[in-house]
Amino acid sequence: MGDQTSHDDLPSLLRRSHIHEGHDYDYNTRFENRNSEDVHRDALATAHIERERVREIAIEALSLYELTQEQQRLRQKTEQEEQRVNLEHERAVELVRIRELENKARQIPKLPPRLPTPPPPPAPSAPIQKPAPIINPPAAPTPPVQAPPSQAAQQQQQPQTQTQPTPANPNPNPFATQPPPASRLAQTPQFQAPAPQKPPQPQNHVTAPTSNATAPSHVFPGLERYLEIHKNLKNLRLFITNAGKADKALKTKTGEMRRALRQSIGQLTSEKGANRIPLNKIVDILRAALTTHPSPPVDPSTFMIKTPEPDDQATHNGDSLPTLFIYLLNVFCKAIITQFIEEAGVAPKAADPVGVIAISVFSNPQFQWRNRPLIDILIAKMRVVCPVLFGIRGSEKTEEGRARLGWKKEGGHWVGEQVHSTRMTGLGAGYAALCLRDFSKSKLANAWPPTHYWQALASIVSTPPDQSSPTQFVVLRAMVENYEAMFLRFYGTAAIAALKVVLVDFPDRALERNVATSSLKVLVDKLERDMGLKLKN
Amino acid sequence: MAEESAPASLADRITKPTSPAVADETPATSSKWSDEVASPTAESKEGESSLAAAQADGQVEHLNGSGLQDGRYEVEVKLSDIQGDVNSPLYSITAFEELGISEEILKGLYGMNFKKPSKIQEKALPYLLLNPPTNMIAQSQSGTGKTAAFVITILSRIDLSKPTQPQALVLAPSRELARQIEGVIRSIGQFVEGLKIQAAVPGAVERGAKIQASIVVGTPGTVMDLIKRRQFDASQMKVLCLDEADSMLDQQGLGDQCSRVKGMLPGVQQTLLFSATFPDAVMQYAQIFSPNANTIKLRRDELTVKGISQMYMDCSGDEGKYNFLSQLYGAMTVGSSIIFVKRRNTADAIADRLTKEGHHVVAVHGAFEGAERDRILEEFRTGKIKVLITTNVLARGIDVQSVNMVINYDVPMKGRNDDEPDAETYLHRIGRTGRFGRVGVSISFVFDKKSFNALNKIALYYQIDLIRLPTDDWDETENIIKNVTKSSRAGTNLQA
Repeated sequence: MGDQTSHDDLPSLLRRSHIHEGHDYDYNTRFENRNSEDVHRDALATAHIERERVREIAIEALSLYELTQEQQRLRQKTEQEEQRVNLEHERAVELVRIRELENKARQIPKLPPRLPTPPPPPAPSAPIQKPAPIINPPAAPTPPVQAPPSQAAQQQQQPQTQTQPTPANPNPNPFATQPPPASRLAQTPQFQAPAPQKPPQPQNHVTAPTSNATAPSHVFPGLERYLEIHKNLKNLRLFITNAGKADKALKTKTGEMRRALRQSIGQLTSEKGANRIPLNKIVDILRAALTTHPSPPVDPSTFMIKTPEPDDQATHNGDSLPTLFIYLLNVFCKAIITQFIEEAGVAPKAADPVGVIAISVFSNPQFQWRNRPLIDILIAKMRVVCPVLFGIRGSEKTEEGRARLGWKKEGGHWVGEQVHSTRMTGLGAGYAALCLRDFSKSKLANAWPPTHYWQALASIVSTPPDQSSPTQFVVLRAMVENYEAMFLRFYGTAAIAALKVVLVDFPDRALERNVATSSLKVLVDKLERDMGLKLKN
Repeated sequence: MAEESAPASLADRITKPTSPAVADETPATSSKWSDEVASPTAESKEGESSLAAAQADGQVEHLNGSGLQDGRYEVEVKLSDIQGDVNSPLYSITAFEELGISEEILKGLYGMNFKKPSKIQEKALPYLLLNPPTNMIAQSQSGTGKTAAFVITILSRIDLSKPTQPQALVLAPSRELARQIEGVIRSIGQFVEGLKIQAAVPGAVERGAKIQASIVVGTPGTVMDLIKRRQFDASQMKVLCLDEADSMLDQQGLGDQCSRVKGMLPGVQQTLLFSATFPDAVMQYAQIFSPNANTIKLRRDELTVKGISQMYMDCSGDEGKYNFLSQLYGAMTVGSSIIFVKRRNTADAIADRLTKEGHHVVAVHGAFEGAERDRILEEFRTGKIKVLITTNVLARGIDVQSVNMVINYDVPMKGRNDDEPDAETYLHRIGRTGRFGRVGVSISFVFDKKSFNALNKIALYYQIDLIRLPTDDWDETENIIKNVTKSSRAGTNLQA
């Protein structure tokens, strides 16, 4: 191609010349003009163009080659990384198995006396009078505290993510010897006699940190405090209801606002930009409670895990917020939870827009107190309806176990299995929708960052096989399905390792194969089919 | 066990033309629960009541504080609470795994979040999967898993090594329903390799193109044309299934078409007829259509689903109806909802007003093109649209799980002058909610003597207690709806 300088080829070059277009230009004339300047220049130009063309092709080829090389290198690196993670993870799983076996071995001699003895009569108080540790902790030292790890830290500590189950697994007993249950009981009467005329008094928060320090690591910090918040909210609701009895206008107004909030949340869809009307309505109603409808003040810290320090930048920096505002936030949260249960339970994708709206409201500075979100109101409700998310465990075959798992009772009977599983599906999906929100493009601070998602997964998968329950598998499935991509976006390779634990190892460890474990494991096949993500070796 | 002798038990009413060797099924299963769950002890009752005392409003403050516990001293859950109501259409003691379904199909069921077979599935599947294949006529309430039952059967029967050879045909009365069944087959069969499904509804198959799928779902007219035009090779057809069989066999045109289609399928080994309703007159014809069939039938008082709370509102005039309609969306938590109206222009008018209030609404009726209707329904199914306003087009069979409110904006009527209440349509309409044991609410609007009487007749016919919702105190309405749904839920799983 590049031999255009050769003289034998001259005719072909001449043919390219623009001055020699036209068919009637005969050979002789061309021969006569062969040494003219035009011909020469033409030939040079042609040569130049050709050279440029060839050069471009070469450069393109080179860059393509470089890209392929780079791609290959990356692929190799990913494979290596995956292999490393897998190995680490297998090692961790083996460790866990060894511990479990050790524990089981210790349990064996203790079991026989149980079978002939009927259960002792005062059942509900039984957990508190629990005898000395049954399961001894292995020699492994327990990590002292489990503070919620920051997202950045999480991302770097992927090897540890698999080992997270290890510390939690073998030592249920710190709790057995722990005093808080008693003190908790002692406290309750105080809450049970509320003064309906007054908004609830702020509780002091001493209990929360204490129970925190001694709580087992898989349990969510502030677990007890959430129950108090839940109780305080009930009192607040009662206060508004009673006030409404005296004041018909108030009753009508709160009723209208409540129904408007519920309706707006029911209108949400996953269409982009389709939720403007309902969101505006929610914001308007909440804002109206802060400004146009005066109501008695209440201390917001009553409904928070920790009392925030005053912040000069904050929209609301005083000691109180209007009661009606907190009441409506409470209604808002309740509507969210019911929407999760009623709609997302059967159509899990419907949880997403609800989660988006919830987080956007709580992250909105005008609805915060001292620049801290009031999201504990929502979390307190979550904690009551779906305790599994917060590290609580229980057997579905016992009364107490079901109560702990948040299995609902209606008319004195447990709701059916299907109803329970639907509820848990909706709440699992809902929690994922709350946790996995991307604030990287927002100026606001995320009211409930993704670390909570990780924490919930970790606390569930660290359950020893003899304590795991179908409820946990149902919740896990709902948390993972449709959120794989989001999870991977936040946690990268660590998320893949975590998914492996959640979808493969944890159900594999279960003592009983049932529909719940199978349904969780089906996600592995779905992920492979739909996203090309291989979790099985 | 007591539930085995319950007179209302569905099992007692399965009639068999021949008696296949399945008679020992009941005793074999009855011992199962006692193996798994210890009998309730006296303590359990005490434990339960004190537990109830400790729970305000179903909450469990005192008990779930700790994440760890020692299960040895806990009280076992009562047998009855685990089993639920033996009379419920969803009650079953078997698991899908025990029904002899292939692993691939099971995976599909898990993928769809199916947990346990419903009663119709538990009772019918052993007969449906029996060899040699036997015919079946099965009746079961709306939303109890009929579609899944015949889909599992069909998936188990076809030869996957011949993916382009039609082997099973499902007929449905409307294109929406056919599309929906197609979707269910795809979902349950999502892990079945080599599965090909094709819809034979108007406009879906090009002229001259051959049907190249092992399972065909369609409407009778289109299927008939396709076979006539040799686009559909029916020579190796094994299974024929009619969904909403009563409506297909009952209607003059559809019934003829169905019979003709059947005549074109010489090799069919199994004919299945499924519906929520089977009027006696149709039943006779059904038995000719599907001879020697195993039959599962319901009594009339069993037809309504307990999980659907049925209420009504007395509205003053047409304008009142609209105002109450829009208020209802705040009075309860609504996922998706369907509003049934009589006239197209009412449908469009309501759609406009609700849209202005922020709802995602669409009105669908006969005026829409087929493909457009497919699209709208798909958007409703995925939750892009949450309120569907429709004339009777969609009364039957459409299954969108998240629908938890159905509104009869107009009471369904039939007859020459619309002077007779249409009880069957009412049942199918409200059956769009309360799917598979979930709670759903149905609210009918009455506004004059005629509509009131009509609704009253329907209520008498099915012996349902319709609950009246006040229209002047919405706090009260909210409370009533809450309590009624609560007790409906209780009805779905508790001992009678």
